[in-house]
Amino acid sequence: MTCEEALRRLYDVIDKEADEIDVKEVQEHLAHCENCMARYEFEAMFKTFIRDKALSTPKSDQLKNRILTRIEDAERSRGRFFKRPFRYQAVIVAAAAALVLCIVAAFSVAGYYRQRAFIQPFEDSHMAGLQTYQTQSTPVRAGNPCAPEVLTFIEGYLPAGVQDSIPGYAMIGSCLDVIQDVKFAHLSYVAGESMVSLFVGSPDGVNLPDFERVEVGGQECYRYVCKNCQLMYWMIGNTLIVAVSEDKSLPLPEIMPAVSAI
Amino acid sequence: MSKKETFEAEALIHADSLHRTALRMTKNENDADDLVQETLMKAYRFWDKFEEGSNCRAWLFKIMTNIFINNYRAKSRAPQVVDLQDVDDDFLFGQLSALGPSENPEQHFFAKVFDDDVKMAIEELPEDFRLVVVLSFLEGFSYQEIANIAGLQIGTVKSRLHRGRKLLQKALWDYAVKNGFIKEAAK
Ligand SMILES: [Zn+2]
Ligand SMILES: [Zn+2]
Repeated sequence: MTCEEALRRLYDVIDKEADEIDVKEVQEHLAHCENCMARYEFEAMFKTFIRDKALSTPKSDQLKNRILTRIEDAERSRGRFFKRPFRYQAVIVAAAAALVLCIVAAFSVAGYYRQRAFIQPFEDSHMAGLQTYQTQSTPVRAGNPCAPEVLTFIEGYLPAGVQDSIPGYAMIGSCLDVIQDVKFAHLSYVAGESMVSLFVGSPDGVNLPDFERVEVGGQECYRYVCKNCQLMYWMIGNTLIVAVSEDKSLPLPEIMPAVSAI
Repeated sequence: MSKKETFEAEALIHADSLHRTALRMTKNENDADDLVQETLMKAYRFWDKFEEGSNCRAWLFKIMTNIFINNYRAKSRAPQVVDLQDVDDDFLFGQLSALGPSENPEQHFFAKVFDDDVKMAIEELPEDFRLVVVLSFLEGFSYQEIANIAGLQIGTVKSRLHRGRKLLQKALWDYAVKNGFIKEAAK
């Protein structure tokens, strides 16, 4: 074996990746060649040196305990319902059934489900956006301009324009959503600690429920407050705008100027 | 043994080693903690997917590397340009040998460099090189294991490791010269 061949196998041998025959041949060469031997020794020493210096002192008891606690928490919350004694489960199931019966009796079934069917997808989309926002590791900058494809959708397809911010509200993001098989522009605004989602799209094919009618600055709109959110919708020409917020005390009509006819 | 006990015995014992790599990759204690916790919680959720008898440590590192690549690595990733044309394979060895054999320059050099300087030199490596250097040098994974963990071809692992080694040697040499531990030999 020549020096060149020995050095070509240098890192494979140091990293213990060379096959047995190569290792043997290299060893034979090193026994006779001081230069290569010195280089091999140096590279081996360098690897050990880096490893020794970079091995930090373990600190993981704390870390391990934290993970164990999280695992226990996760297990506990998952098993909570099913680990109760059987009669409690029966009581819970019976109570839930009774509650459902009460609701069914109290509401006109068709009306209630039509309202829920309308609210749910907007609420879900808003809540998903809210959760993403709240769990972002890097803070989202308020005052983002509307995404170009969203703006093109709104301006090209529907006769409406968009404000990136209005007093008290700043846009943090926008996207295109499909809700009830209809494409909507989804605009997210922050107002203090709260968030508002505006959905702008065509009302064709959307089943509009009869909510409480309110008039805001001559504009007719419909408002509904449910367990999780408040929702308001209005029309500009043939454009449907739906506003949703998890904050039920937010004066929702304030957001109306964010989308205006052009 | 319960799921939790098996997990504790087989996976949680690698927390130290995961944390060490996490620290070199994220470069800060808080992110490293979060990354390790996220990794182990995910591993626990998918514990039934782990094939018993296979390499648990490599499996955990694969999970961690994926989370790191997706969530932690520098947001704007300009292509990493690393010019190593002027650095010879035996750069550091050559420099040290040129100092003369009398005072055993390697020993002298290795004795002078501090832990923190080595850690800093590792952290300053471009991310792609840093990952393979850490997995090989610190964690002792084989080329094949690193290829699986990082989703790379084995040839890519070898070339990145080779270049990472050179960069590390060059950085430590520059550091030693800058701090006056060693007088640069005339070329
Ligand atoms: Zn030789
Ligand atoms: Zn959306």
